[in-house]
Amino acid sequence: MRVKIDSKGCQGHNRCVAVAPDIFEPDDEGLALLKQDPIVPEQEDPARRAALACPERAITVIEED
Amino acid sequence: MTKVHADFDHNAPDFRADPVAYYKHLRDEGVGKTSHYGGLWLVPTYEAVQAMAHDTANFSPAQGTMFPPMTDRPMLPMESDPPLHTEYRKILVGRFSPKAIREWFSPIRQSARDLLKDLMNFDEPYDLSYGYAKLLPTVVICKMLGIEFKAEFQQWVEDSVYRRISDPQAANEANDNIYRMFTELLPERRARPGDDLVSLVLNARIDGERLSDEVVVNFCFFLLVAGLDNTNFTIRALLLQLALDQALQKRLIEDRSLIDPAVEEALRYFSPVIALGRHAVNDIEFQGCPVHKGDPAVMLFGCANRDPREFDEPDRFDIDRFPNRHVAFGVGPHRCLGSNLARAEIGIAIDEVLNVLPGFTLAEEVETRWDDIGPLKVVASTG
Repeated sequence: MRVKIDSKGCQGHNRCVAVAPDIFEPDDEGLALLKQDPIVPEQEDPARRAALACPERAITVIEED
Repeated sequence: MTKVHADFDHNAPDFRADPVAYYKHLRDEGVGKTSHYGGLWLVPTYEAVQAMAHDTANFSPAQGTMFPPMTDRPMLPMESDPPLHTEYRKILVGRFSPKAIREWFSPIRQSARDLLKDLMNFDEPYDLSYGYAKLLPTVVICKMLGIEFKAEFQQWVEDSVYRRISDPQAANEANDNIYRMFTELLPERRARPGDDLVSLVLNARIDGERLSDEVVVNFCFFLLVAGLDNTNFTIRALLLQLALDQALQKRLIEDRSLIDPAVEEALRYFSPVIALGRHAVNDIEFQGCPVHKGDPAVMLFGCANRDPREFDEPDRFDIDRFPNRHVAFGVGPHRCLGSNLARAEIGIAIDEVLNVLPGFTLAEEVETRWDDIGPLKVVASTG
């Protein structure tokens, strides 16, 4: 699984960090950064939840086989 | 033009007393125009709020975001357009990021403890509204601005923030006093800059140029007032919710990690900023409505946060709600810069009350009125 953050869409709500702190961290301006890519199998569910939690719909999960 | 919209006033006492009673009608009618405030467009649904907040090309906050205005000077950085807005915001963003705000956790907690200790010097019931929820955000922002918290100053804040609708003259005089206070502070801060927010704005440069004193003071005013009544309101409303729902309070006492989702749900459910505005800068068809250049509009955040098309059972207070993509801080490029600070203050304020008064209950009946943040008297649990 891969995760993409739309850097123009992210406004620093930090909901992804709240839901999936092992995948996302805030940068110095509070915008989301990826801590891992691709996503390890045990983090796939938190990754999907983080995408759902974003009020800007700025996170895309790319499911791979 | 439909009935609810045509005469709707988001500041009317009936609405403020119980806004939720209006929300379904407002959403059902969709975007529409009221006769108040020069023909204000009402933006009531989650979808429409998202659309307007993101459409910075057609809707600008630069000509004012509040109806009636809180002040006749621009509230910066919010009431400005890109590209200047982007530059303005850049000055502050590093001080309000999650990392920067974490540095304030301990001072916020200390302030919360001090205020609670002062309250406990009196006999029960303890009024958590005035002596705690209301004072905490003011005390904290004063520390961040590096200004002294004085009684006279508290009165100005009180008049400026809380009497805007009921006594506009007192509010205007208070605004003048606050502007003057910051104007008089600048020479001293210029001579001896610190790590406070006033010094930060004073020394900021855009394209190599410092900001004018007038712009610096406009920043300072908004930094001071932007997070006071709304943070206070959310702390008080969540405390009330916990006093009324002992099972929920018990869950939070036993698992403090639930405070964060409780704060998020309080932000959605109580939506401290009910309405925030824009002006159209072009003729545009918005959600099927003919909006003309110059038309004012308000995004009804509170109404959008109860929209059943986004939230299941929106009128239920549910800290386990997922997802909770509320728009209490707005969305898009103008989203509240102070959100991390607000979240920290609300969460720490609740945590400290649970430490000192676990199982607290109401001493007397109170209601949540959106226009009047009255007392919240609680007693310690005897159980």
